Amino acid sequence: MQQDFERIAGIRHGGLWLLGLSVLAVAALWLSLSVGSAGLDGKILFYVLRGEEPGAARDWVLGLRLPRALAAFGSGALLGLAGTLMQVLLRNPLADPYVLGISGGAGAAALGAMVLGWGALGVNVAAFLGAVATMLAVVWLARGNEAWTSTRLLLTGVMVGAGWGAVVSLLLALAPDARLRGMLFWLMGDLGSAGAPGWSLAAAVIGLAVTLPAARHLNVLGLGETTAFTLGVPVARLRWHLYLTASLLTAVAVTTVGSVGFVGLVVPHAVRLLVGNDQRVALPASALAGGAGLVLADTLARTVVAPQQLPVGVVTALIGVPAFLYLFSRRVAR
Amino acid sequence: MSDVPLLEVRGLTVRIGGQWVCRNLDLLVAPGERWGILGCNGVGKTTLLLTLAGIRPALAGEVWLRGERRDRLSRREAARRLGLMPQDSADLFPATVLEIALAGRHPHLPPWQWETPEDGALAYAALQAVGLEGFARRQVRSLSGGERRRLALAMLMTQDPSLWLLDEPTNHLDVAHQMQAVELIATRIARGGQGVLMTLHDINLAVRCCDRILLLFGDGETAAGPTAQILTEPALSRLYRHPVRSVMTESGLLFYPT
Repeated sequence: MQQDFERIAGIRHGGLWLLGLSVLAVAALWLSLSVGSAGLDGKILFYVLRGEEPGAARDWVLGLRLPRALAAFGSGALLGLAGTLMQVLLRNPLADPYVLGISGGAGAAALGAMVLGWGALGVNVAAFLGAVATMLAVVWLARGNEAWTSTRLLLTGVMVGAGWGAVVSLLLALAPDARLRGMLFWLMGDLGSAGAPGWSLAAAVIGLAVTLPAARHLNVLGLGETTAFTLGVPVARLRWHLYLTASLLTAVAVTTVGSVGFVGLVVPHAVRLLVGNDQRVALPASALAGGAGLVLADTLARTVVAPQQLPVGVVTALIGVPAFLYLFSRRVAR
Repeated sequence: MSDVPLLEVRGLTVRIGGQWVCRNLDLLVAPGERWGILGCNGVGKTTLLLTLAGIRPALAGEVWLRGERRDRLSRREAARRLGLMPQDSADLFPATVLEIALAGRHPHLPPWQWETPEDGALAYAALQAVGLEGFARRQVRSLSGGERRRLALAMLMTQDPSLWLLDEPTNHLDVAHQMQAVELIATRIARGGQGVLMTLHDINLAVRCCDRILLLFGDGETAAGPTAQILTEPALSRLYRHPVRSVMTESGLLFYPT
């Protein structure tokens, strides 16, 4: 019976899954460092990382591929984590990090900055401010005169997102042709212009650190707010915590890589199918899976039709959709 | 412990949507007591339970749990003194039956503590008590309405609060399981010294399983006391605004609408 209990409660399972996903993440990073316009065999890569290989290889690995791979990992982790949090907050398995219009706000602001001809830093700052402004506007509008419910929040967010979508279309229609390509890449998500990886990695670590202590609260919140309240969960405070954390994580991710679709929707579902719905395991698992997934997708995006580069958002959807559908149907059939 | 009331309500006034649920209600629930709450649809039975649990604010009045005001207790401590089984459960995310029963341990575990095998044993025992022991690994969404209801009761038993608030605990249950649930509640309460307040629609179930009754008349008026004193033909006819008669049978007094 005890074995049965531990197995069902996922105590041992969780550790193994997290270990496995960590290995996958390291393997994905290793792969993304070794493949590209110039391949690199494992031994040389090892020397480069130990700082014992001078010369050209060192420059592109440490100067180009490593920052890009880490930015992909950090942003993917942010999107996976934010997606999981949003689904719990909105009590809706269809929710993703962008459902509340945050990416729309970031996109409209970033595209506006591009139309004005601002540089990369200006675009990033605009995207972040657009995301944060949207986050505040949505919760303020959703509140009205009463407490915000999940349904009000969701409806307000979807509406605000639709509004931003119109602004984005308007900017695309008005933009000079020379800037269109850059704008489209931003919208689909692209790591070619990703800034320093430090921000997204730090945000992912902080995001995990502030949500893991509340992970069991999140499990109970999944049973409904009334039940959660009578089990001692500070429901109102927890919802604010979830909303602010998930929104800020999304804002950082969108600022780093643009609005990469699908990672934030498919990763929480895949993780739930694989490791179960215990958030103490699911939160770190979705961060690791999201990070590893985006690193792999970006590696493909820059190698599959080299020297052309694809927007990584296209790759995440092209691979993510069939992978998810396969996983989903297999689980149902069992 | 025995002389401290599990629940003491002082001057509670609750109003919802222009309707008085209760005005200046005083109520004492002692260990071992089983209270039934009766009233028409929409009279505010659920609202009263939610107010006692602290989910809804009251217009006036105080709620004391085992000698301390509820709003001065920590959330965890309040959850050990009062538990609520709501009318419905919405399971949007997959979970196993055992995981749901285990959630009842939440207020007993420190934030960083994982459930121990002892917690698992408590959850198993509760599942056994409601006849769901063979379902431990089943997905909650594969349960029928009545099975889900019994799982909610098992979760409350795992939580093990001193006061149980049950919102229509026999909803969705067939006759046999209604009797089983009611007897289970009665024996638990008698053994553990807890108290229970449950809303019911079935007068005769209330006669069989409650030793105290609270009537909500819908205008803020209430009547509370021992079952035999409160459940009378005139009181019930006034309560439901429909004539109610009674007949003596071999299993006790039986009420029926005319």
